[in-house]
Amino acid sequence: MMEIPHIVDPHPDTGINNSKLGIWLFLASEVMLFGALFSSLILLRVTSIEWPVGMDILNVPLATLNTVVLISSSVTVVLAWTALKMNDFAKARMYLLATIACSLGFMVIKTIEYTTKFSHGLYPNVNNFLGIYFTMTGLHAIHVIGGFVVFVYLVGPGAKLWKENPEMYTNRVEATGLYWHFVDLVWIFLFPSLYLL
Amino acid sequence: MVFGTLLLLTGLTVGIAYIHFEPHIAIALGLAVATTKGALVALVFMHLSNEVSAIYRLLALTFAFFFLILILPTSWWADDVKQASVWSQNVPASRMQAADDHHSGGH
Repeated sequence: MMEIPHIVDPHPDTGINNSKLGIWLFLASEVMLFGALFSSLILLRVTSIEWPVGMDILNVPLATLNTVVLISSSVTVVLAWTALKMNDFAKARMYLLATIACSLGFMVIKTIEYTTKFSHGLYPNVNNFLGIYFTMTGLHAIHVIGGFVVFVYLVGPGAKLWKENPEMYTNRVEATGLYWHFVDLVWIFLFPSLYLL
Repeated sequence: MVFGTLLLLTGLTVGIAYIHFEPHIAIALGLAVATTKGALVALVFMHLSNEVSAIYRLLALTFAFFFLILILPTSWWADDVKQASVWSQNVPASRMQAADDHHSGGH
């Protein structure tokens, strides 16, 4: 099989391996994607004559719980990566499983929130607030699902890479971690913007 | 340590929201706390406190465009506001008129 250069060793031009540069380039595009939506949120809000207070419609306690769940999952990813750096795969696997549990927890809570809204007739087409709420949190939830799939791969079929090339496996966990922290970061801004302010 | 700080700041954000400050103060405080939390995640979890210059340059470019995309559309509208600030939710008279027409139009 052809060897792909600089996926483990740093590229001389950038000082980092290409997988890390790649995930950062992807995150840069994600900043623009969510940036456009935050811009839309601001524009919709300042140009509307009436704008609801998020906490009158949305469930703040559940969203606060989700914030804690997501921050915890960021911590477990960091711990998993640190364990891999210490050559402790069993411990890393445990932390990755905890991350998967957290992402599942987040999705369950989000589903409860959405179904409650729907049961009250609050759909995206009701008003601009709900429109942007469902667009932004929905896109964010898709990102959580994406992360969940990758983490399941990393503890499942992808874990055999640890035996063949531990450094490459560690880099994969790091790159996924960077993506996961970004998803956490987006939520940190979504939560006050939609629920609290 | 960072985890504890992030949880504390989450509590603070929610607390601020329940105090019911004036909208512009609440928004400023809320965003300040969110930015602090975001900075902690980026600097500590994403190792941005110690990264190669290629990543910093990439992010500098990204954020330049991010702020442009954030501010530009709103600035077109703000141009339309004759007095007062955007944050006091003053709507240009022409738009109020349009909204009144819409409401009285039996929709």
